[in-house]
Amino acid sequence: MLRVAAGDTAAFASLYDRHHRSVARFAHRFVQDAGRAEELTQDIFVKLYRHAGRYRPTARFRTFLFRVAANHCLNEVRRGEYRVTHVADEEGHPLQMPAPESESPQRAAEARELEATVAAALGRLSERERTAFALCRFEGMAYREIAEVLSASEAAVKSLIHRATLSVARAVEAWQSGAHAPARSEA
Amino acid sequence: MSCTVEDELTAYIDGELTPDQIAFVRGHLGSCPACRSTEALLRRTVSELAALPAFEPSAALRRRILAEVDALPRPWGERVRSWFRPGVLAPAGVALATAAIVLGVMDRHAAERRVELAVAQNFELLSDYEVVGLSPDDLEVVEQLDQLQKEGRP
Repeated sequence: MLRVAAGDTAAFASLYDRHHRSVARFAHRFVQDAGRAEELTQDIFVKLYRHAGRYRPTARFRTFLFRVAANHCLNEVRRGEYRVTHVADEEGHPLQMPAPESESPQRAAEARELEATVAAALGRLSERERTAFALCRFEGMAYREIAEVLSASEAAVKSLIHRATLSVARAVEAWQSGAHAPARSEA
Repeated sequence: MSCTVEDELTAYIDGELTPDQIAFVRGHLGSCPACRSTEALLRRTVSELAALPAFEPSAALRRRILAEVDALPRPWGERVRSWFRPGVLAPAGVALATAAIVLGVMDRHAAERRVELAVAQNFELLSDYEVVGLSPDDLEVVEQLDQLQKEGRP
């Protein structure tokens, strides 16, 4: 990162290769749109390059990176430039992620439905709940690290993650006991 | 119905509680069916979330980002560093050394030239001294002549 701060673009490319998937995944959980997630990822990495001089080696790089990413996503969503949208199908189901090709058609369909249910539940969370949830569940961050990213106390993060996880769990439970059940009975 | 311990359940399954808190929650779960049910739901959901397909950004994104970064004005650190690259520094050193030599030579030439000009300006006087056969020592004696006469020297 210190080399990036000195304008070393090769070091920047290496940094991108190591971290871009996490950032893009995080941005995607935020806006639920592939194109917008890539735009956000681009903004975040360019911002990282431009402000690399502000990084201090005392801070863990991943924490610094996700602080930049979270702030950018929160600001952009608040500004209204990127809205959390759900591309609904004819039955009103939100955007669905493609399932791995190796899965059976039924498993793939279930995975897509689960993804859509989770995406819809995430869309109902507050921005901070969604951020804390995404960092915890999809990036595997500890509560202390998330607290650093969000500039919040660990107690606040614990509360955010609990509310978010419970909310998503209830949505998944409702899907499993309703929409998902007939699909299983047809098999 | 939910009890206050429910708020601890997510942190409990995430392994974020202290040993004392873990012992307390475990003890509570043994006597609270509602919390046991919520804990099972949370565990199941967390496990299912881990199996969700992850978003994969396109390869074009890398090209776009690197192109944008390349187009940015370079930071000062990099600009200053670029001045000290061997490819720049060596020719610059050679140029500086050459300039120093040229200036040194020019300076010596200038000093010589100044002497030459002084000689040229006083050429007539110096020629007269030569005509009468005076050396620089003789000129010094001439300069001090008044004083020497006072001391009684011839």
